[in-house]
Amino acid sequence: MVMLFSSGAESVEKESTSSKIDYSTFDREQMNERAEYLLDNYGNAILRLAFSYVHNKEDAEEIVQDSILQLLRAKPVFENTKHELSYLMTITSNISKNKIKYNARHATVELNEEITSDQTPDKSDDHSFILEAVAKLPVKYKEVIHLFYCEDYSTAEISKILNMKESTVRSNLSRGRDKLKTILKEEYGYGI
Amino acid sequence: MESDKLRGEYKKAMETIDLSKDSRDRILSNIRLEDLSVPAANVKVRKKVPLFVIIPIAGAAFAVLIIGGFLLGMGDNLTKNAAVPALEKDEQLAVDEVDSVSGRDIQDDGGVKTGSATEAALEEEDPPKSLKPDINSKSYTANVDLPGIGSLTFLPIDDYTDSVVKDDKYGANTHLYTNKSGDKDFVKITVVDGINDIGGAAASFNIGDTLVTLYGSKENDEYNKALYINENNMFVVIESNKGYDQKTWEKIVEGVVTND
Repeated sequence: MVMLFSSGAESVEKESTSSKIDYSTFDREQMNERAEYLLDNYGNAILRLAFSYVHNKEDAEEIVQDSILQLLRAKPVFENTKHELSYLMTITSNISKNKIKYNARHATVELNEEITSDQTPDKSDDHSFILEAVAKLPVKYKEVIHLFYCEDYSTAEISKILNMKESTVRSNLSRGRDKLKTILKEEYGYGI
Repeated sequence: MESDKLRGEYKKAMETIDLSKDSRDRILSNIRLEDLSVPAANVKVRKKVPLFVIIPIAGAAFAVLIIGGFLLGMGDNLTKNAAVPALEKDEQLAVDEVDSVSGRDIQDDGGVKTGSATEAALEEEDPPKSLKPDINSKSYTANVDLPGIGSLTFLPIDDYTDSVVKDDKYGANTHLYTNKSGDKDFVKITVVDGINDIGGAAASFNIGDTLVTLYGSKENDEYNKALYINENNMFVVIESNKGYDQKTWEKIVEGVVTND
């Protein structure tokens, strides 16, 4: 059963994870169907991961598209859907980091405007300031914070997705949380 | 609790980021138009080469250039010398011998030292002292002014065998881990039984030119900055400004000696 717009880890748990997925056997029509499946099941998860890096919804949507295209073109074989999602998360993370570098090289006034424009979440939302605070963290901290707190991945799973040691993930998580607490307290007067 | 609150707040904030129906349809339509037979590009993130890698390589390359230039110059001189007529060469050699008999080449009895004697005298001079600790063959002990810990003994790597776990007289186990993050290494020693309360202070000391920082217990703010571990464990964290890897750390640190 396909769940529309559910979060990544959540939908994987609700679905059978034992069936093998071999993209190399898919024809074009099946590829299109799989793209639809990926968007409906993991769309929000990868959009949010991309957003946690670039903090711009337009860029994040572009990254979602590129990530799915990348996966379809690679024609990988997955043991289960959990494996498939991890792969997708890794691609999204890498494309997001490349996007940040690209944006930094092509930094324009337009980019700065985007940060404060309506591309960011609704300011009336009580929690949007948390996203602003996370956006101020270095990439290495915000990526682990997002995967740990939003997607509920364990540090072991994050280490696989981000291709780094688990101890580094734990360290970055701890340091990132400290920095986030400081930013929230000093700049937003919010204590956790 | 803090963690749960942060998780809740962050999730609520992230829920405002949704893939709209329009965006989903637009992405799908774009994907359908794409040619999927094009091989996937490598999207691995190119890691920045850190300065501590670039500087030594650049330094080595520069040194090779200098030495190469020097050797070329020498080769050029030799070629020129070879062109000098034999008689002139002999005269030149005679002058060189006279010039070399100076200062320390004169023995106590007034005679001139032979070549081998001169070499021996030169060898007796103190070799340049290295500021780097010789962790391979020497042991170092650093006193640490913290309750519960008297000193840390750094044993020579050559003497070290295998285990990094040490039982002290209180029966406390010390476990050693490293956590390489950014430009610093951390070594954590976990004291499991909780008897060894080392307090919340931090101390720094030097081993050779290596700055080593010893962090306090879980009460210390530095704890969170260093590692994320089970809160029931007591531990200390050693931070070094050297890029020792796990194996090296395991061999350097022998254990914690506790005070009575």
